[in-house]
Amino acid sequence: MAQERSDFRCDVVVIGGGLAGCMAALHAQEKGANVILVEKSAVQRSGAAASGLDHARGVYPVEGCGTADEFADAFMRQSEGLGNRRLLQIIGEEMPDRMFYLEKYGLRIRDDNGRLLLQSGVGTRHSFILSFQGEDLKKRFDQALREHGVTILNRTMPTGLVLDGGRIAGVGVVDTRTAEFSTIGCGALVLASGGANRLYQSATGLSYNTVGCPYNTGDAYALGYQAGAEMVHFEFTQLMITLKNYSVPGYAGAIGVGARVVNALGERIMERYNPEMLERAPRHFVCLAVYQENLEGRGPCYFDFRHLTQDGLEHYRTGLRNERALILRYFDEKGLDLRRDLVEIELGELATQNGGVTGLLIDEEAATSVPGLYAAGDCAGGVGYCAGSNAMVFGWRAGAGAAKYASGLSAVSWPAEAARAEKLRALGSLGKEHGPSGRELEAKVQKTMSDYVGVQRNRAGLDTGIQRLENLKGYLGDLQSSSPNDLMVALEAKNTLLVGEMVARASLMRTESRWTHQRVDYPQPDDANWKKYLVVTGKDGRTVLYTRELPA
Amino acid sequence: MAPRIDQVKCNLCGVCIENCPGDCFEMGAGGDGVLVARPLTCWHCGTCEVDCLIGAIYVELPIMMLA
Repeated sequence: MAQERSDFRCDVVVIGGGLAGCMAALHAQEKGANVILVEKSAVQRSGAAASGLDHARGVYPVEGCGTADEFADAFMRQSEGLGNRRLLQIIGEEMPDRMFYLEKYGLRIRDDNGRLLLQSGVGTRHSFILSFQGEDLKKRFDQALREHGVTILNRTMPTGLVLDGGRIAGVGVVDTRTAEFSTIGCGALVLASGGANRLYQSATGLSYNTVGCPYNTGDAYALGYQAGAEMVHFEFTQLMITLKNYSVPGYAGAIGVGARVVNALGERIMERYNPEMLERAPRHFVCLAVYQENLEGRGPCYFDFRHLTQDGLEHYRTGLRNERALILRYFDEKGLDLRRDLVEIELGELATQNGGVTGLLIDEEAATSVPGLYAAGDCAGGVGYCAGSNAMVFGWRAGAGAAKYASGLSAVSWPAEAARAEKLRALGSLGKEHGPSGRELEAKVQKTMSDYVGVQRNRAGLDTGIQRLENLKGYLGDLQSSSPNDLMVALEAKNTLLVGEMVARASLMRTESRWTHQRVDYPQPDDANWKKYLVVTGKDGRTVLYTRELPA
Repeated sequence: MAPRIDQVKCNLCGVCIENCPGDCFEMGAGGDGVLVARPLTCWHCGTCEVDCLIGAIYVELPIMMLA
């Protein structure tokens, strides 16, 4: 089952074929690099935007859109000031060009009259959100990659890096359907495989029905950890409101058209928590408000669409069709009529915070702290929340940066000894007759995270959680898997465990409450000590943490 | 639970096997047709149903969501 596959060599390897990875691969190839893209699913339907995307934030040349400065301010506010204002500004400025680029590949970004259509958004009074018909976005990307001549390795998962004198020289990969192991030698590498979305027990009880893409399991963080890259914001786990029992991203769409959030008493809850901005307050305010309402016995909470005009409702439904058409079936089969009925909501399971929050620190060129290593999309961090636009703009920049870095280098094959060692490490669980499975490991990590590293945290719980996760590390050598798919799950579970530890340790160290990190034993924000990044990384196989000043 | 395949309609083109982000589908051995081999890893993204050119897939929402 586990066979040798040929060794690959290229200038730039891109790990992950979502919005960021596709942009990186396309642009690196345009800059003259020879690119291999490694994707755990299949590019045409992978990542956070697998089923489509209906909106993208940016500073568009449309009347009513704010300026790049206002854009950066709005998304800094969404990120409680713990972002990188300059990088957010770049996203605002460059996003329109990324959309016009995709338009050349057939993406429909305009209405029937050829106009760009903006919708109002969350956390801002300005209109920075372009609505478009992006249900086939990933297929357009797949087509563009093939026209560019990018080599695509679908159903392929990274296992570990090879470092050469501190720079990235290659990556080991395994085919998830055959368990064939290969090595790729490269000049530069772009991490773009998303966050960690199977880190907590799912809110719905269906383990793969998570808000974020469940196939994103912290693989990029694990590689960043191995490389010793500086990563931030693991304690700021993601809060998201989702439909009751159907975890979906769709909050921005509902709030964007003007949905209200009400409790069991029919009260508009944000009048209590943020009377000025109401539902348009940054998302975590609304999520914590729903959490609090439930805690104090005024739940369940609901989306209320009943006051919307026919146009508003139609706009909402169109957005759903473009991003996740199944939500309409959910409404229909539950007999929900949005003109008449409230729609029950709940807090989705926690995850690392997507959209440019939790992950590898990057600069303007999407370069990380490790030479030759670039990052973009949900696995890049410290930028500030900007969802898919962060992915596409910095994916593009990562492609350029990686191509430039690799241009003077010649990629080499892995040394035979290193390749053998990595293969053994990656495939070690395969064919063993006894031992815990990847699923068991994952279930215990999720239970531990949900029990001790949830919305409200304290020292005793975090200490206990960390101890449990440390105990789990003792089982890693015993893992067994009986099929290639099983092997993938085991590798994912290892990565999930590592990310869990990073989240728990960062949550213990940040002794304040801010944004989505709520410490019951330190309930106030502490600007003097904590208005800064908390860096997490790996050094000689150990997790190290230290603080770092925010960018000026 | 999750995707259901109409085996009469299915023409074995394999698009669902190619595209599913969760690798839920497999070609069955010995004329079994396309199987939903891993229903528990379904995200409920619905792309299999959208991508099936002949409408042979229907994503059934589980009772966990509907009841």
